Amino acid sequence: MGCEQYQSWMTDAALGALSAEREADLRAHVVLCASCREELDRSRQLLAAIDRATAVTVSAEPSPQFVARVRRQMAERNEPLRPRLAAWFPVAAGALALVALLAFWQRPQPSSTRGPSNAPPSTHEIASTKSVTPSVPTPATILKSSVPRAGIALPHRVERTTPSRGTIAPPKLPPALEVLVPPGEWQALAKFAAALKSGRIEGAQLEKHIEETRKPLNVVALEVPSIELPLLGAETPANESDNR
Amino acid sequence: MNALVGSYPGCGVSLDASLEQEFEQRLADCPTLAFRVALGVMRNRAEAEDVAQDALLRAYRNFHRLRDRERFRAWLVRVTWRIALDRIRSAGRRERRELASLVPVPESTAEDVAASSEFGRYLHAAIDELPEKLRLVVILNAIEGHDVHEVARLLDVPEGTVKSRIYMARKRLAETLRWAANSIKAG
Repeated sequence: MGCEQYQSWMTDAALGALSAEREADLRAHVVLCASCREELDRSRQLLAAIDRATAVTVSAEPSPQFVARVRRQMAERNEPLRPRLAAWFPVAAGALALVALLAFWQRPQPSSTRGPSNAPPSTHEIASTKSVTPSVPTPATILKSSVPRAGIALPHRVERTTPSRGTIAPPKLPPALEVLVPPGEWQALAKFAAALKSGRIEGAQLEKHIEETRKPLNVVALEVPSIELPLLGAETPANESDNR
Repeated sequence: MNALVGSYPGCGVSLDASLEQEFEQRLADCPTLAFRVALGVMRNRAEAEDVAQDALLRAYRNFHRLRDRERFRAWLVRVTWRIALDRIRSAGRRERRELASLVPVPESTAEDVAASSEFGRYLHAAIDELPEKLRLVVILNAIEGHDVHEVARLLDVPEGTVKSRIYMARKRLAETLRWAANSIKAG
């Protein structure tokens, strides 16, 4: 084995990480080879220098005023160690504030379109809905003007005695109600609203149809007449004479 | 510190005085540890004291959250280490550190004194190039009184892991600094 191979072991040898077999081999070699012996010594000195310099780097003491300064900082910040219970105070306060905010947000709001009373729409209002052109409205128009506020007015019902007749949407809807329409159904909804406003769809028939669909189904029991079947193998005398 | 022990005004919750007392006991021997860990990264006394002070204040504020108080030293080491690395990584800090004078190295011979400054710079550069895990082990192991067992306790890793990391770190440092040692000697 050449010196190059031994010199590749030098760092491990200086670190004491060579296997017993290699260490014995290297020890026998350095007895005879002065170059490798010097290299091994240099490796050991280098490691010792590294250890010493690293230790010196972190051997310093903090200044005598250091601890006093830390204590003063703690006192100046006036942050005593908080008990575990106090740690929950901000969390509880935040939760309470959130609940109050939600309650405020969900409170019932009076109708802004018809005022505080739930009076039926006037004929003027109905007439104004008649004058709307039958063009296809935009989704925003439907949401903000027609559907949420007073429902879709039916044009052919001029005489109205109760608030429920002549309207599809319930009259107690909050004024800011918004309707979520699934994607792809805007066009159909717009056409439906335009047809209602133009009178192409009969409101009375539509309402009647809706009421009929809400009625329970009339279940009637089926009457099945009994069928008499002849027994297999029992032949009539007329058949017997035909066979003969 | 005892002046701080009292009660929250208006809350009716009395402070846990034992927490204060316990932290006070920890404060007796931990500032030096925090300072030395910081010094191993910053290599500058003033900056190391700043880092150690921040770490101790942070430890003080969060002491009540520490479940296992016996792990306070390990916790403090980690906090100090993170703060020091953050400081180093901040803009311009590295350049200032390189320009700053190194910690004076008390050497015994004139030859060592002549060589120490240059070799120290190479060594610190080589330590900075080590992976973080190896670097922390090297620094903790270099602190007086920290053997493999103590380092393993501080890092919460098996002793075998510490031995392995120390071996890898020293080998890398030796291989990196071999040419530097030869050039210093030749010069």
